[in-house]
Amino acid sequence: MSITEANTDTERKTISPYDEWATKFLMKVLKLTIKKFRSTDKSITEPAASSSTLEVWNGRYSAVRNLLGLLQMSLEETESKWKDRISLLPDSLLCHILSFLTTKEAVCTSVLSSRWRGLWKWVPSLDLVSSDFPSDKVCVDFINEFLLNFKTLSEFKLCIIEQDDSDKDASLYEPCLDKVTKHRIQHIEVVCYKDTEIPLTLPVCEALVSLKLYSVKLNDFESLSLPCLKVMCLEHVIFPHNAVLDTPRLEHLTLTGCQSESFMIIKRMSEHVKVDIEVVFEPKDYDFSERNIIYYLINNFSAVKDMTLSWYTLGLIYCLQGMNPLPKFRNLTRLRATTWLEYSFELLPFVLESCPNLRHLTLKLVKGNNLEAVVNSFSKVLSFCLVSSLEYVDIESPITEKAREEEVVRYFLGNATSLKKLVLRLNVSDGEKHDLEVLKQRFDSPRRSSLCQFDVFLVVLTPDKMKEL
Amino acid sequence: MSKKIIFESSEGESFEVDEAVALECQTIKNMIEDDCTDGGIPLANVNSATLTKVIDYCKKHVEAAAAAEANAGDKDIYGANKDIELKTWDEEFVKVDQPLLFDLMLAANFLIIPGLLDLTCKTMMRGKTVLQIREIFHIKKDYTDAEEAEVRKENAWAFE
Repeated sequence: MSITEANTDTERKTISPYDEWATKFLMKVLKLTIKKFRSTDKSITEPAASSSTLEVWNGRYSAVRNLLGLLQMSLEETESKWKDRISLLPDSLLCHILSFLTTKEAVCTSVLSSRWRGLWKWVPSLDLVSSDFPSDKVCVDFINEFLLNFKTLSEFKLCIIEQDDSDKDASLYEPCLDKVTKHRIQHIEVVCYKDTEIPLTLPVCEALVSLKLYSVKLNDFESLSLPCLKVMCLEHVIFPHNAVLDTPRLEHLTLTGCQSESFMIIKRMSEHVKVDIEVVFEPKDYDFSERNIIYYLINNFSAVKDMTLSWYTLGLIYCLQGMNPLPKFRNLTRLRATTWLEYSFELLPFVLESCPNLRHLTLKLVKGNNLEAVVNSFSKVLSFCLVSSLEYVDIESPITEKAREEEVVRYFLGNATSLKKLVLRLNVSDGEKHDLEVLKQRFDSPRRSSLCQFDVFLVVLTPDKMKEL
Repeated sequence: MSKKIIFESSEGESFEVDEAVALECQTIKNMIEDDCTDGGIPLANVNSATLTKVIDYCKKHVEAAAAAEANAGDKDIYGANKDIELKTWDEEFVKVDQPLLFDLMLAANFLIIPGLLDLTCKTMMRGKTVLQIREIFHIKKDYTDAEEAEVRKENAWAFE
């Protein structure tokens, strides 16, 4: 852009008062320079006295030219700094930027300028919190109208929050959620913080890649195919009884707080699926039907290679012992589990027995409140994986008076035949002084596997966190 | 020795990078596949400061991917931490002034580096009020007061 152009009216619009002053100043300097330049120019048209004077003039020429160049560059730089570059971007790129905002933020950009007025409507995703709206009805109306723009929607996120004056139940949302699921949707996240679960009908969603639900009641279906689903995260979700899900590409499954009356069968999952289960289920009488429900739920995952189990789930699996045949996880190579230190002596061998081919074990030990240990030593019978496959063990634990964690470490170091590495992460509170070497010596014990490496780390926790343990 | 690719910034400065790093850019990947990278790749619309950052980004992500692969066996113990580390690195990476962030986004769009494009687009406006956006990007209002009132009325819930 040339200097003269920069001074036209259209350009001045985007230049700040300070900049305008700077521009005027620079223009003055330039005019003066040019004047000087012209006067010297005249003199040069006069016959040159000698070649040396010519050189001098040439030198001045290029000096002036350089100066002009520098001035123009700095002018362009300050100008571009104050220019509205973003509004010049193509719609597609602007929509991509808007897609990272919540719908509310995106809608707000419509007041920026006429360029931005309707842009947000072209972003094929919604991210809403119901409490941003004056009422649930306004929120539902907004969703319905938005959906008219699109045949396909990439993302739908809705968080329904109980408000003082809103309806207690969330069924108002049901019809519009039905529409959403029919929009070739790829990602759905529905979180409901109302007293009752929000009802949702899942049709065959061919494009669905991730499904995250919190406090949702899935309406009746016998079987459902979600061919592209990769991530499923269900918390406090009620399923129709005995429903069958077919999710051949499922890679991540998180099940938290699933309840007894609702359990489903997952027909297929990806070979590399990672499963994280926390069953919150209070068996009432441990009768036959209850036991079966837990058994079938857990049996869904018998072919899984990678699994995370909460202490509660572990407890349930333990309860099953002696009632049903023990579920075996023959393919399981990685297990992350949380368990109480007090029950670890009986639970650990039992869990290891269920996973005959386990290679990686990550164990989090927590101190239970007012728990009395029943068993005070590990069984002498060693699980199959201990003497064959187990290679890596990672234990996180607090340091306790009863030093059961020492026993656990000793159990793995002393018995695991193929162990390559054991990492111990000890919880210590902030400010506490510990000598890592002393701790390492204290926990170290004879190793069954000569190749085994033993590392100790300190995990510093805040006092609040320490109290929780 | 891995093959080297030479980039040339808009200022004419040359940058030599490993082929693996250059492959992070889909545009360059296509050029390499078509065998037209001899004698350097001129990037007339990417300046040196931006190009340096772009190369930093690609390098880090190539290294992180290689490290993740090497530690695949140990993933259980270290995998999670690595992810967090790269995320933190990314967050630090985009803590730059607005013009540079903007140039980075344009470069990522032009060179087709999806990760960097998402990262810069995400940082561009998120968590900012309309007033802040207007100020940062120098967006001039061309509405009359009546027009603006109408725009606000259309979706009054968002402006409350």
